Amino acid sequence: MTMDPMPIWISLKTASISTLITFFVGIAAAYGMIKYQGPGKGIIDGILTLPLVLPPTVIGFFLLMLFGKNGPFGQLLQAFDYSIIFSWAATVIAATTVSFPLMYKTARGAFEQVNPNYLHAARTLGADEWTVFWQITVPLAWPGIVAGTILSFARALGEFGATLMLAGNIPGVTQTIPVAIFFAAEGGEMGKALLWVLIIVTLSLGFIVTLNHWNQFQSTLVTRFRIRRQFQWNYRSTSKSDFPASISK
Amino acid sequence: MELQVHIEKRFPGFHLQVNFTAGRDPLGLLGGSGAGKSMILRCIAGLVTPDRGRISLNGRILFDSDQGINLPSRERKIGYLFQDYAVFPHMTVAENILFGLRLLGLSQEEQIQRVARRIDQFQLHDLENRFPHQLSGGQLQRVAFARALSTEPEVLLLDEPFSALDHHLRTQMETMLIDTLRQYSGVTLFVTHNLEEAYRVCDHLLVLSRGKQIALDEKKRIFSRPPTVTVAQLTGCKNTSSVRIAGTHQVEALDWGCLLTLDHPVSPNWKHAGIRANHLRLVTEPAKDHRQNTFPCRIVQTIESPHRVTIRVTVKGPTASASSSTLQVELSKKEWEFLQKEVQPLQLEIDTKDLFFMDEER
Repeated sequence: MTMDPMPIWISLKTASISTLITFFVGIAAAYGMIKYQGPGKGIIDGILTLPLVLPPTVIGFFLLMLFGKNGPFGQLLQAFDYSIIFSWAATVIAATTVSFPLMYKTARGAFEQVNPNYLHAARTLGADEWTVFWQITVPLAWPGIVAGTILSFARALGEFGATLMLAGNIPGVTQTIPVAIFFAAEGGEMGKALLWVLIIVTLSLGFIVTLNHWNQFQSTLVTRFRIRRQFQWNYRSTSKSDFPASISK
Repeated sequence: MELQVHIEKRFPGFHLQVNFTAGRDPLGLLGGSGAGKSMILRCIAGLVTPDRGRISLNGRILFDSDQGINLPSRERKIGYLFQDYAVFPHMTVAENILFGLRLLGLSQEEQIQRVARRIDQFQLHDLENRFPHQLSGGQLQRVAFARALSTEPEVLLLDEPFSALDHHLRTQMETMLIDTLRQYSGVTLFVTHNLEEAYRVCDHLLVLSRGKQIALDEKKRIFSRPPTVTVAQLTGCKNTSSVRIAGTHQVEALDWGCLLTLDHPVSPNWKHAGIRANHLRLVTEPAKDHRQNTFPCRIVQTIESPHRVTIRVTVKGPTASASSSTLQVELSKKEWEFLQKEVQPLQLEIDTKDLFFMDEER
């Protein structure tokens, strides 16, 4: 039995890139939805959350309609002589779509938990919205943002249904670990399937354990790191020449 | 130094409408909860946009609905002290104070000096590198104060700053506040529902009830001659009664059930009378010049505070009825102990010079 290690690489690559995209798009969508006060807020929120509740095959079907030969994006890409179906990019699109709601929902919840008086205080002290967002909202919502990122990554790593429909099963190109497991089991290669299962269990478990350790470590790290990164206040009114070495990072 | 506020803001079931000017002396905003006190501060700070009106500060227009001007909060030069302090939890004390200064584009040296000055002023030595969760309530409040003043704002908005502190700290912080405000050259608005606090800190008071401005005057005048029953009640007057004009120098206090004789002529506009609990007296023998306004009374209830006693009495007399409401008399413990030794029945003395009359509610 020969094992091609490519699915590991494809799975990790896909999950990482889609998490990176989800991170920024999810935060932007969450922040945008908090600011947005126009009509249809509930509907928009519903659409953004839909990939979380729909079966992955339904997502895959929708994506096929959008990116297929006759779909709007498909036709647009065809003008550049490019087809996304059954390409590696398709695995990223599928993983991003299904993991997006987790980032969006968690980030939005985290933003909404931030006491608005912190934002008000920053504004009256002269901060513009950009400064308020990066220096107050994001640091205070950080634990939630991290949680959303972890969930998104985990969801992207386990993605199967939508990936299969949009990207298919092309070994070395679009075959992720979950897809490889399915086809190994279907083809009766139970030993191979089991090996893949063990690999993904090890990967996922390792990922979670590492994150837990990192989270614990981070809290101590943050305090230590902060004292070095931020300035230490050394000034005393009695010794006016003793200025801190650096004041703003 | 002048802040002019003339604004209107509608919410479902609430209509805020105020028009006032505040100068160098602290202006107290007094009113019950939900009266719109904090909303006024939010409008001035630009955190809430009024529906209509105009806000100007030292000639600078902060908001004008007719001209379509609405400066963002960051350009208004306002110091805001929040009820929950809102000290940034992810920054140290020094970083909190520095936050606004960094945005001013000052030199590093100037920033440091200004932070140091506030740290001196608010006695935050040795706390500079602490995080908010390592501080006590009083310390947090001082940090919030230092931060609000760090950018040298033209207006200082204080939103019930002492509500979260215990009694002892409250007194300390109040002394500090009065001191700080004396040195501060800008406009101060002080929101509170505690009338004694408002009286001690401010010179002028704006009294609010359900979004409406019902009194705006020098504090002594508001306390001695409240214009309406609501103002009287909000300023702590326990005894009010509707009145009927009974003669050129006589009014009948309908709720109290007694006929009062005045040494000045009555006005036909009077609808209500009021007298503060500490101005009423209980006597055994009517004094010579108060004979007409001294009434036999019955004690209904006595409530003891650490230093004072509140006695609720009803008037017994020809015009009194079963429906007569009680009057509250407030005495020092000494006075009350002395009176309790008396054998003779007690009488209620209403000194007409402490009595005030109010027109219909506007």
